[in-house]
Amino acid sequence: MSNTAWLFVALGIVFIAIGGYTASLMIRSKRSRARLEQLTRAEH
Amino acid sequence: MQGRPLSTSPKLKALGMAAWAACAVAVVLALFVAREASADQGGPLQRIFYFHVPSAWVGYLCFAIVFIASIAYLRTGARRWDLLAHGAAEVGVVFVTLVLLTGPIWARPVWGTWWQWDARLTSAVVMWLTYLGYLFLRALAADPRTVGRLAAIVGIVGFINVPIVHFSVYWWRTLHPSGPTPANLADGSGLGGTELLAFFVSLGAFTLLGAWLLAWRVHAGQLADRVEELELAAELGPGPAVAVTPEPGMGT
Repeated sequence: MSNTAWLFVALGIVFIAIGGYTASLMIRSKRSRARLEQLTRAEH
Repeated sequence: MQGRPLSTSPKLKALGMAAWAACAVAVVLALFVAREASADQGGPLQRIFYFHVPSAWVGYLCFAIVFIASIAYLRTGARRWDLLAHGAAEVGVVFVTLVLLTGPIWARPVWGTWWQWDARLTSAVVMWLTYLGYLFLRALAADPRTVGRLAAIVGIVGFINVPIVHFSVYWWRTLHPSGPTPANLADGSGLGGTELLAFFVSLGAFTLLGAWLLAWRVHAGQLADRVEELELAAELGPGPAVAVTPEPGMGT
């Protein structure tokens, strides 16, 4: 593979990893918020 | 859980948008504006430097936050410091993982090998393993609050290695470059104006990205704490009313 191709592999790794971590935070927040709503409704 | 979440949704959204916009500018500058390095430095592959070094910087910054927040937690016992330390360790590990993945991609054609056990690379792996261990310690604990003090000690002691990682290239003879040098007009090496611009924009963009991820991670931790409190209250049955403030949506 050429050096330019490796550069794009490295860039892909960087942004896919950060995007993946962002998605994991999104999922965790969504789950917690959904559970929080469920518990709040049960309280009432 | 004490108080309201540290970050409100509109602020988080604005920070996230600013971070991704800055990243887009950084990519354009690094790929199309900065001069290409000489072939012995990897030619186009040397542009990895604009993402590799800022990732390391965010990692250092996050581990410094772990250190400070851990001291604050041991002194005050306030859960918000523990959440901040935990979040910073997680974000720091993500960025240092990127450092350890992008470095070998540059090293293979330039050094002729993916990896060398020199002082910088070895100390960086030790740093990564230390904070990975910190996260495992927290993940294995049945109650995240009980492990807080032990994790804080690991977060404080583990930070000793961070300056060693940074200064290793000056203290020992290493294969790893010691850092960017100013432009040398005689042979055209080093960083000139466009390279410095690309580098500092990328450094700023990654710092914003790290700050956004950390703020979001702390926010997610606060939500999880609130859920846990309500679940515990529900298990204990009727008792004193628990005041619940509905969380404003983050648009996620």
